[in-house]
Amino acid sequence: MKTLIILLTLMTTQVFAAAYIGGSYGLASYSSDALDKYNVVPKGNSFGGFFGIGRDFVGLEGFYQSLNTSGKIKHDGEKYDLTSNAAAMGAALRFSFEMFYLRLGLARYKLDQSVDIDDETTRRAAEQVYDIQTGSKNGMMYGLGLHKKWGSSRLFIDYSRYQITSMGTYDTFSAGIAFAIPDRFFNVGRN
Amino acid sequence: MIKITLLSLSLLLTSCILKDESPLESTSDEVNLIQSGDIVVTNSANDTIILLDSDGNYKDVLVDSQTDATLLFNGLAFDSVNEQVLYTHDSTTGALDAVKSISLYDGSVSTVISNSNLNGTLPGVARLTGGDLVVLEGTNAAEKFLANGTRSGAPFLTGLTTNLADITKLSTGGFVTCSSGTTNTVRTYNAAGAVQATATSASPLPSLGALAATSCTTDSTGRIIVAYSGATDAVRVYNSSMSSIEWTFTDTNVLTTPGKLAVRPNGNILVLDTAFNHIVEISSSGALVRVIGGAVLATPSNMVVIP
Repeated sequence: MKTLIILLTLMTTQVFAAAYIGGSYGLASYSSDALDKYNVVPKGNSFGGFFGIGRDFVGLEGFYQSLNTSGKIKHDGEKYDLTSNAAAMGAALRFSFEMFYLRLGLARYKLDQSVDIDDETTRRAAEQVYDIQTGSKNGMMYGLGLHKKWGSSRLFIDYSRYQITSMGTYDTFSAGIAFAIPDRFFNVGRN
Repeated sequence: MIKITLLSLSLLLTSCILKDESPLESTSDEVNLIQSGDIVVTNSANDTIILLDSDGNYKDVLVDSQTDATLLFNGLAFDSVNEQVLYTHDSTTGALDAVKSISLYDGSVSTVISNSNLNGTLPGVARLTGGDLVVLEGTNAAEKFLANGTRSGAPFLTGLTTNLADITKLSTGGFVTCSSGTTNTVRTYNAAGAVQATATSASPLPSLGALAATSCTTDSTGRIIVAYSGATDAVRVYNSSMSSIEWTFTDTNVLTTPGKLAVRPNGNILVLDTAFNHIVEISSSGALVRVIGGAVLATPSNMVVIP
């Protein structure tokens, strides 16, 4: 945390002189060993935003991403709905180049997973079979994208993986737009 | 070139994320403490309900009332409506009588019925296919509770054969009871409590003599299976109307004090021997298969096999 504060402090000085902000919306899917075993792949949507400060081709950003997926399971002969939602908050480094960028960061995930089964005994068993969890977990995120300058903004398509430690992974494919404040971050160095 | 690359990448990632799969079936049995084929046995000598695997090996203690010697666990049944094990929590002081359930998931115990009319001995319990709960009460009566727990009848049945020993649901919606009385010892009933058929150890023929029926159950084909104890110790299988006998098993090397019966998913019949403290497994055609569970049973009073 101290390192993060120092970095943010540095970035607010003249060393890092440009800020950027953006958001995206797209598709998401969730996978884990427990779900893979039964060919269960919850799918849904994802949206979120980021705010960063950078210079040349390196940026440091904070991000928030909402990950909402659901799918069907077949348990004890019946079909039920499984919901796997999460909210990811964290910090990431962004390396921007002419056509593409890379992101790598750490995240804190707030999980909201459930199976829609009325009978308590069956639900508890299904929750264990499919490793259904709630609460907070740590993890990381990494992604890559293609971006193109469009006036004072950048359009991008992004593939990101939100990896929850010892649990599962959300994959997202989204499109979005980012703005520089002022319009320097996209114009310095290779940006 | 750039646009083609972008389009190809987009299509690839989108197809990966949208790829549809048909889910494979999972079962609660994979994680449940109590699994299909397991055997649940009540031990009256040490007031416990224990869990054995299908080979009769010890798995766990589900209920232990050694701190309260006034408790008996005589009634035991599988509740296929709610997927749980039922047992009668029978206090000799009469103050704590209830029907309780054991969760298959983790073995946790809950109270199903607690009613002041359950104040005598509770030798048997059965959840009928329609959801009603029938509890044998005292020596010759039965109480019925609807699926929502409401008492039905005042009581449901009286004047049953004396010294009731056991009750088991039938796939027809009714139930079968038996008693250690020497007349009309085995009866089948419909769900409303009307007698459908009667048999004793002496009828239909061939007679085994006047014997106490210690347990009665049914198998997937609807046959009625009865354990008799006395001068002849036997397991007898009747057809569904109890008008004829299919076979009778006797073997004093392994079965001298027949107790409660249970039927495995494969049709094999298990019978407790309360003197040998073991379980005798008999094939569905009446041949001795093996003896199991001898190491951990202590005057076993009831048994159920998880379907």
